[in-house]
Amino acid sequence: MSLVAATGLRKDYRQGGDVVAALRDVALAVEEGEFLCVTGPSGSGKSTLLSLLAGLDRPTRGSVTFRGEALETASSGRLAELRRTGMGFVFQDFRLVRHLTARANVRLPLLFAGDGEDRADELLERVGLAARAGHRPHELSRGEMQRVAVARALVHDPAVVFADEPTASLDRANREAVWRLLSELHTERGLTLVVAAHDAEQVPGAARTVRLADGRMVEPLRRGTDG
Amino acid sequence: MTGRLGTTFAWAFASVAFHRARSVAAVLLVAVATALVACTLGFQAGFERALDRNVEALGYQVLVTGKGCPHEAATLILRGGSIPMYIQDDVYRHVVAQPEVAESTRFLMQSVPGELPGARQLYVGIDDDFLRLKPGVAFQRGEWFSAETAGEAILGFNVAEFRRLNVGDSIELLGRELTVRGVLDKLGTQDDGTVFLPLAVAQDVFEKPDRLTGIGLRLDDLGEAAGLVDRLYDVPSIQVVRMSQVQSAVLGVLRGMRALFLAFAAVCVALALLGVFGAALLALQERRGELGVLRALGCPGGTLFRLAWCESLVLSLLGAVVGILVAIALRGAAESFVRANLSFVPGGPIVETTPAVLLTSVALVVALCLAAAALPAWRSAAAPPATSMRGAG
Ligand SMILES: Nc1ncnc2c1ncn2[C@@H]1O[C@H](COP(=O)(O)OP(=O)(O)OP(=O)(O)O)[C@@H](O)[C@H]1O
Ligand SMILES: [Mg+2]
Repeated sequence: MSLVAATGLRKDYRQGGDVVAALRDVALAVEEGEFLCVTGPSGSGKSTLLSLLAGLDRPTRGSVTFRGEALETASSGRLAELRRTGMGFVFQDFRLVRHLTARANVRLPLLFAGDGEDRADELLERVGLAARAGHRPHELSRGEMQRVAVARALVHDPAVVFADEPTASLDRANREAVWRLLSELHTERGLTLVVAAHDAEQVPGAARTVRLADGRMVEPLRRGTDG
Repeated sequence: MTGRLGTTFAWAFASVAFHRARSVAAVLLVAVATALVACTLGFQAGFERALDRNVEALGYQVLVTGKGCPHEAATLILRGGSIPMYIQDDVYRHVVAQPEVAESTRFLMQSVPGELPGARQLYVGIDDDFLRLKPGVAFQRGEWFSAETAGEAILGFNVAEFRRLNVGDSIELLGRELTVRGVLDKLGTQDDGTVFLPLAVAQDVFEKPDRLTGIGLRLDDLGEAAGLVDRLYDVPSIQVVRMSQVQSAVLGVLRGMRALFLAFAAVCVALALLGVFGAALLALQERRGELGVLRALGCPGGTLFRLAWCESLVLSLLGAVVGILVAIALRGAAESFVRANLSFVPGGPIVETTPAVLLTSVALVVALCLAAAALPAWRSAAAPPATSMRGAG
């Protein structure tokens, strides 16, 4: 059984009288331990796909399963429960809580999930920010903020981490550092990763890349050693 | 669970500290409201107790004075002052001969301008029965007059304190020199500010021979008071007042004052609620993005509610603690305000900021603040998850 699977996925956004078909007839399966990259030009539906796979939004048609459980029919309470226990998130613009320190931000998922080993310090150490644990977001650089966000996505030991263009707000050096970090975590811990990235972006370590154009999957690319 | 509770409070404290300006504003409003509620409650409790204490300390249940307004006469005697109506000595003998009378004491009360501008010093001529009716009175130093006509004075505690007088010192009264014979212990009543003289000396100094301001009576059985009052009603030159009547009359006046205090406190509580509500609403507005992220991370609505509410709890608790300190500091001002605005105020502390009063005020204000903050907290809990993982937020 795939960890996450989608079939016949369609998402229409209604705006006024217009209907924008953001996704059309997408089928996809993510296996445990896989590192999947979704690419495509701006507006092609990458973010829409990720939010449907993560149960953040509901498809107009089609089905999404997480560990075999259908998400499109699950209650929003159940979706929240699946997200806080089984999924981690890294956002393009970090989305850290402003008034909390790096350590408290990393701990947030533990607050929701109730008990769970407090691995915040260990993870901050892993992302190279042990010394900045007591600092608040505005005291960190953008690259550091995103590394805090990566630690936050991992603290509750999720089955899968979704990252939507996690490097789009970073400069080149930080971009490379964050991709390297994600790729290392994938190999070290067997982490399942689903990331969205722009066309041009090179995502090291992604074993499989799917490409979206205008809401459709155009070509499943296989990328191993070819860069 | 304790860990989660700790994290919730850590969140709240961090947020309160981070948004300093609005936190300070809300805390100050809550503090003022708590202080005023505490003073109002303290006034209510303290005033009644002070009145009880003063009436109790008078030592008599029935007061006989010269004809006039009975209420005015009684409050003047509680507060102290000159009443221009006097009882003759023969009336005194008639009154104390009544069968219901167990004990009696007579006095002549006069006030003259004191040392401070505007202040008046109270002098009371008393007889040897004085101490018998006032079991609470004790000497701090010195003793009772050496003779019924001795040129001596016994000072209330505050008089000795303020004028730095000791036993053996001389004081001057209308050209007469008096020797301080004793100083009374602090009583928390009007007596603390009084200079006592032998009755005969007072009558002589104030040129009121054989005249009395009042006679205090203690009865064997208070149930017989009505009969006594009826009988004495026939004596044309006097009036008879039961102190219990005075007490209820004074408490009636007090109700007006309490309403004023309550209205004032209510306005401040309303402002405090607005402050906490406003702070919570601001936090809600400012944090829409953050709330969406928390929802996306799977935070249950109940937790969001708890986080937002806990922040209001921290604000109102901080405010309440500051408010307690303000109340303790403000007690004196509240007393002065009451004294300046009420015709009769019993001696001693009348605004009591006891632990019970303070705790009640804190509980009241915090509970109201939490109720006011429930709506914004509930709105926080209802925030939709950030459906899109992209974009500015
Ligand atoms: N909430 C929405 N309401 C209306 N239209 C939307 C909404 N969200 C996305 N869309 C539209 O759906 C399409 C797909 O958007 P999506 O954000 O998934 O693309 P994307 O590939 O992530 O783009 P980018 O690379 O710029 O992040 C776009 O045409 C977009 O305008
Ligand atoms: Mg996108």
